[in-house]
Amino acid sequence: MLDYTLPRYKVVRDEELCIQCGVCERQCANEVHDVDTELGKCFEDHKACVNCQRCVIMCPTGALSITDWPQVDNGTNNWNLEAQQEIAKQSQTGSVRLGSMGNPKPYPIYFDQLLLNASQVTNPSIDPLREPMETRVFLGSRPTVIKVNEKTKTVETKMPPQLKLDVPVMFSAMSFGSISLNAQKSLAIAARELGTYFNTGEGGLHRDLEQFGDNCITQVASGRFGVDPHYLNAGSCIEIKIGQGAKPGIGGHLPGAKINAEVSRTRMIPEGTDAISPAPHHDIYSIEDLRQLIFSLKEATRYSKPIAVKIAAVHNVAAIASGCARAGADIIVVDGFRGGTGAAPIRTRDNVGIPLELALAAIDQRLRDEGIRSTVSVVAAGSIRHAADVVKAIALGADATYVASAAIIAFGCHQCQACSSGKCNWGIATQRPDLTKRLNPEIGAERVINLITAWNHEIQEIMGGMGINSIDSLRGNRLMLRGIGLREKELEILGVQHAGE
Amino acid sequence: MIASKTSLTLGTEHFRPANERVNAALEVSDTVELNEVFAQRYLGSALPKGKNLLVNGTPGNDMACYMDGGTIEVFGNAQDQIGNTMNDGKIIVHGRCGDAAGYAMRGGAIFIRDDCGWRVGIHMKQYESKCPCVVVGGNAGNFLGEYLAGGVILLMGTAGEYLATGMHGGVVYLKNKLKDHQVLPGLMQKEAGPEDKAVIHALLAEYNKHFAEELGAPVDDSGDGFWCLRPISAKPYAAMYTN
Amino acid sequence: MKRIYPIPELCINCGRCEVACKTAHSKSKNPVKAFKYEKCAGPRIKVEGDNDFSFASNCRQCAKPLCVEGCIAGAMQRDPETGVVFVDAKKCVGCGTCVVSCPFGAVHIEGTAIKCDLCGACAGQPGKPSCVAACPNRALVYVESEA
Repeated sequence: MLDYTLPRYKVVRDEELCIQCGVCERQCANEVHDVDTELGKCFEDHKACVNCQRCVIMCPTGALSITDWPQVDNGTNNWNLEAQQEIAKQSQTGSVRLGSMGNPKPYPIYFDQLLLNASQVTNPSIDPLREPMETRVFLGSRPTVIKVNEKTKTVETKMPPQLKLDVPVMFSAMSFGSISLNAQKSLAIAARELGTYFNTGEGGLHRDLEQFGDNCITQVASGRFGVDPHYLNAGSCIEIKIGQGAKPGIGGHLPGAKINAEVSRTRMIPEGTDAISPAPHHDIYSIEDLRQLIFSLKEATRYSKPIAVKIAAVHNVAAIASGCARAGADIIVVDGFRGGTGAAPIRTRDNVGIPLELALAAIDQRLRDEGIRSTVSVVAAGSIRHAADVVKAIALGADATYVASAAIIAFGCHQCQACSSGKCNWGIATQRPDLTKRLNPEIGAERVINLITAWNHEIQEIMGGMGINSIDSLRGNRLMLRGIGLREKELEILGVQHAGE
Repeated sequence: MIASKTSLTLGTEHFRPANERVNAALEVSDTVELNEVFAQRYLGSALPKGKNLLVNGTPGNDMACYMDGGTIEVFGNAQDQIGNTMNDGKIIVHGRCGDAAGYAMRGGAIFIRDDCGWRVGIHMKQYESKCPCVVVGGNAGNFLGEYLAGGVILLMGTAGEYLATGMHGGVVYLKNKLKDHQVLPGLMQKEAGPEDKAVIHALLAEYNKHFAEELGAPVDDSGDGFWCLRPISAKPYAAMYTN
Repeated sequence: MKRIYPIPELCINCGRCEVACKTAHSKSKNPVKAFKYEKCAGPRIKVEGDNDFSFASNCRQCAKPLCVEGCIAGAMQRDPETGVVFVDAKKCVGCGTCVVSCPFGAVHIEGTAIKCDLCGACAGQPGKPSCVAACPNRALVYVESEA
């Protein structure tokens, strides 16, 4: 059949700067570049380019850049080029269109319409360089009453197990299989150095990473890959994955081509077979079933670790979160619709789920209204991009935040959204050894540590500017936020007033 | 010094203190007998190798979840979700079991004397030497072996509907041949060959060892007349997705 | 003395070390001018292998250099204090004996002998090797080794 699909990008090579060194050709797993030293000319297969920008960064003279394919839209608002090209692709293949990373559509970013307070006269700012700023957070369930022995200054009530974070940011789930071992290692090393946690995702815990158990959250998803008592006890916390912001309501699918020997051993499935995570956990069909799964994990680990439940932000998420809290979850993770993924059907990624900010505010308010907010910790996930997003998320009600895209962008991800091809030129979303070696975990960890350390300083600065000196004073403190350009209903759900009020 | 056998009576004690007592007993004895079991959940969770539980009464849901070895023998009926994410070990039920037994099972074996409920053996998987087995002496409910990725299910009675939807590995041995419409797209049914019969023989010989006496007679363990259900492809969804 | 060592497990076969080397030894120190307009010598470090296995190979700065032993003009020398093996281009006659003497293939002739000089400011002095600085994956290290 005639192929209607067009290239998305055009590689622009500045002939003046190009020295035909061939770095671009050797570095592109999509085989876009052809540096023909005999002819003395370079040729590009534009259609194969995914705009990962590996060649752009690696070129020693900065001779390369990537632009949009210069084919104009026909001028209609709805039948734009992208919509037509999607049909071209599906009519060519008859297949479900897969995409990666988070929802790219121009839905509102509520973080960008929330403004932060600063102290002026009566509540003076605090200088973080002079005074201690507490960014430490504990995650876990709390008893409703604590008995204290005033004489010995000790707590008599038995405390449930807690996670201790030195910074209010953890690394969200990315499975071994969807990302490389070097990428997970970078996160593990960084988590240990920063005093926070990384998450195994549903691909099990590789034996090389078992040494990082003290900084590890192990995930139990519907496929239960690699889940045995050794795994459950290897980390510091167990997270039950009910849903994921990028693809609420559907399961996961790692193609057999990405299951090499190491992935096979860690997930404990044969090489080359598809790894399918069914849509629901087929043993959780009700909230009572969830309570049963939570307690089965508590029993299996003898109540020594907090159990988290990760849900996607969808309609009625506040009621779902309340149910999870009452089902015995110690930590509730809410993943907004912009959360990333290694592979998801594009229609689901772009159209299913609701924004994190609205879900977070609704959950925090509902748990407070029901008087159970103190019994769980809430973690916000789904496109946290910088320190101000962290501060705003905490002010909306989160105890801590999860980042994943931000962390991998720190060590090379350029959001080209082609993860499901398995040819990540940055060595992140691939298992090919010639590609994964490009991510040196020493360098990867260093970059993530730099990022989160910088964020922590920024968080301290912003808090100091507000006149508070600990995350505890920021949590759920909607008075520190004002909306701008938001409608009545949005302000109501977020629980903030409009700027100027 | 490990004592030979300890006996405990559970009665209507809540599962949390009950399991604490059971686990403490398993620390000092290799075999623990439980009497008057009234549906306590999570009995034998993460049971390690070398430990044995004898259950007199009716265990609660999620018995033997994350089981890692050893044996659990139930003298009565079991309820739902037994052997959840089981890694190793053996479960013997002198009766029937409920729904969702052996979910995501990776190793070990479950022997059910009578019927089982719905959603049994979902997403079982095998890896290298670990091959989980579920043997059901009676009939099964719907969705038996859904998403089967590996392992063996042996059914003596009739299967319910939607047998093995999404199967992409492993095998289901059936004493009763399925009608054509019951063999879902992507699956194929064949007569058991000599290798299959050897596996069936081993499993049914053990079934007889546990249950022949109380059933009055052993079942035919030759494997003759059995049928096998297998997936046509290990990558059933390969053509369904495109980048 | 410090020597440059490649780490094959980290080498990604990109070739930026080669570009950096040639540029550092050019007059302009500008890669575009060095590659396209100046007539300067090729890189003194070479990436061997392919995307599956590679490492960058250059002069080992031997303690008992065979190239020095073989040099008929006395151009190839070893500085007794720094240990750096270097070429006096004024003395070199381009015979190529050093090329065939070197067990590592680290020397080539472009008029005179060209080999790694540890990016020193002057002959026999080590400097800050540009290949090591240019490597994006820390696959080249410059570390103390035996004298």
